[in-house]
Amino acid sequence: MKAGLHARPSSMLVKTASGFVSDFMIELQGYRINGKSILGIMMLAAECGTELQLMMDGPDEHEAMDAVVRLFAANFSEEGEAQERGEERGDEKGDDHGDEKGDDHG
Amino acid sequence: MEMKKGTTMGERLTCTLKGVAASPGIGVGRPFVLKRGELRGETWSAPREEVDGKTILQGDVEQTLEHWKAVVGALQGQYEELIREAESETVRRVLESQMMILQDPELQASIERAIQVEFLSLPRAICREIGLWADRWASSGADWVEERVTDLLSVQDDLILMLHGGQREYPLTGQTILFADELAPVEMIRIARTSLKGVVLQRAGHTSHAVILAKSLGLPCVVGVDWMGAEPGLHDVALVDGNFGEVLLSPSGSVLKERREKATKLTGWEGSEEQSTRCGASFVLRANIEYLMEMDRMQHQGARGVGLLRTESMLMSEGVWSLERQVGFYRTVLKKAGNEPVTIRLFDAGGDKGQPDEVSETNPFLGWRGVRMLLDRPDLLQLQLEAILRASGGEPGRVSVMIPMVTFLEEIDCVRSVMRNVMDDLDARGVMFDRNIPFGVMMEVPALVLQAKAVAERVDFMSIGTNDLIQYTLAADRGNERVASHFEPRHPAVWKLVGLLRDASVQRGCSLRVCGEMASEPVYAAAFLGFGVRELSMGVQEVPAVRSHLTEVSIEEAELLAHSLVAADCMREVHATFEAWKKNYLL
Repeated sequence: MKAGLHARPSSMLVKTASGFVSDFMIELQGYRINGKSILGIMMLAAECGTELQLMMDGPDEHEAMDAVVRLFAANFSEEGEAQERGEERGDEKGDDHGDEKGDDHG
Repeated sequence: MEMKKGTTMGERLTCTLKGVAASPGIGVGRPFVLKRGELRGETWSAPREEVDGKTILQGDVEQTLEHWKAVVGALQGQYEELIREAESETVRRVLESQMMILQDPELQASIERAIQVEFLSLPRAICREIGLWADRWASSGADWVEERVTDLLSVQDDLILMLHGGQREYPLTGQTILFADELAPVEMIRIARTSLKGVVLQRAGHTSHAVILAKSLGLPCVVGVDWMGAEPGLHDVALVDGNFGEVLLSPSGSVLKERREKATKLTGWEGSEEQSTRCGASFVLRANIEYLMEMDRMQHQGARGVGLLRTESMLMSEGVWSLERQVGFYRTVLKKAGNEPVTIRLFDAGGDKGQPDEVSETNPFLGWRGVRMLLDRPDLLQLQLEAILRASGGEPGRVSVMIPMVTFLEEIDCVRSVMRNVMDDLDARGVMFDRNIPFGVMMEVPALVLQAKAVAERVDFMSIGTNDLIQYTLAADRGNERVASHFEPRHPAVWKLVGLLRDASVQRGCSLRVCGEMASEPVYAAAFLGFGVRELSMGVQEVPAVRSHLTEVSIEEAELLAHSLVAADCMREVHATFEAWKKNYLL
């Protein structure tokens, strides 16, 4: 069982999306939240395997969507991740990250 | 709380508080009790209505908005400064997540809206909006989200503090042991930069930032400690034992020394795979678990699987856990246990463990607890059995169910029949579950032990709950200091009961286990081996010492020990037996 969109991936998502001007919305089972809001994303409490719809709207929507999809595709593992694992194994991140599907509706 | 013998130091009696080990190590210092919730009222879900007046005049809207921006800016500055001085990657990351909450666009917008549209005063807008988000997080159904509610509220506290013009001052001098009901990450970091030696928390989840930070900062930490009545603030010295999950108030000099030596011994222990006696008989040591974080050290300590999963905490706090949440918890436990089995004890509320309903009893240990409560609350029982069965579906054979506090054989039959109904229901809905899920009982009421053979015919395993079995057999309240010497685990009657269980277990081919505190005492564990027990469950931290002793004994010797114990009639004989054993093994 893989971890879902937990605290660490959630904040990475917010960080990435906030780097763009476009509005970013995430929809899950009828709930639509602001993808640049950590409060909203955490509220979704998305577990792994959950299908999320990602929507971008704005001048840099394509670049923004690319960046976000890359994050999902890489399972939210970034540089620095290996270091984190050593530091606090078994804490908020688990060993794997989500495998949510990003549907591009940009 | 547990008062230990009459050791005195100064005027204060030594007092031992039990909790859950969250971050290893030993810390000694002066206790400081941090009172929280002063700013936001008693509960966060209902922020006090009267936070600095209710509404503002329309003409003050602009000024209030400016004030809001200034407050956010000032707090950002504070957070930035903390981040610059971050001791570790973890500290930096925790602080950044606080910053992210502070800068959240939805939060900013909703607070501005509350000011512009509803004319709420700034403190009230802050408390109400953050309170609403806290509610949403708390009801998200995911532990990892709920545990972050503290972070949200700490941003709220920081904002309110900032409104009142500054930082909280901590009157800490010298080496300090901090006691708090829960601790916001920012607060923890600030205090850690003074001379903090250890942290004791009443509440905290395994992924709570306070615990993650304590580990990262190398601070010994014990959580889940109830110090009501102990008044830590009145003691001069506190010792936090983050290896054993204990807090000692006013410990004597010799105890301090002993603890430190024990801690030194523990570091560097590499749990070996070997779990067999000198003569080659294998045994299994499992862990007693209540919180997920306790499982982190299982592998390191060499505990295999969970022999007792306590589930009462699902009943206590914010009502009963939902089906999904229970299933999720059990699955996480299974995952963390690797490929080893997990024995789930059905809700054992009552006694000293609180009640799902507000029930006041004059004699709770003889009252409405364990299976007695469960059979009166079929809704709770069905819910839990369904959750357990659902969790068992993926990996048949790994989950067992155990009934607490059984007195009548009929109670076993009743629970089984409820379980059959739940199984039928799951079948009808096509849900997978383990049809042959092992089904056992806690042997903790003497009446049931006296009927051990009939019990053994009905169940797959019997697990001895030693604390309750002792207190019910000896009629001595284990929490009552005055009769502490009457609560005597070595009483000959206790061994005679264990002898009955051995006979029933052998004759009926029913596995006999121990999941009580006695299992954690190496000498008693050896005796249990002699009674045919091959599976013992205990606190994770106790495993190495027990294993180390059991690997040096032989079954033959252990059986002789058991034989002498059953034959003993008075305490003198029991003492002599154990003394001889210890001498032989140089203990």
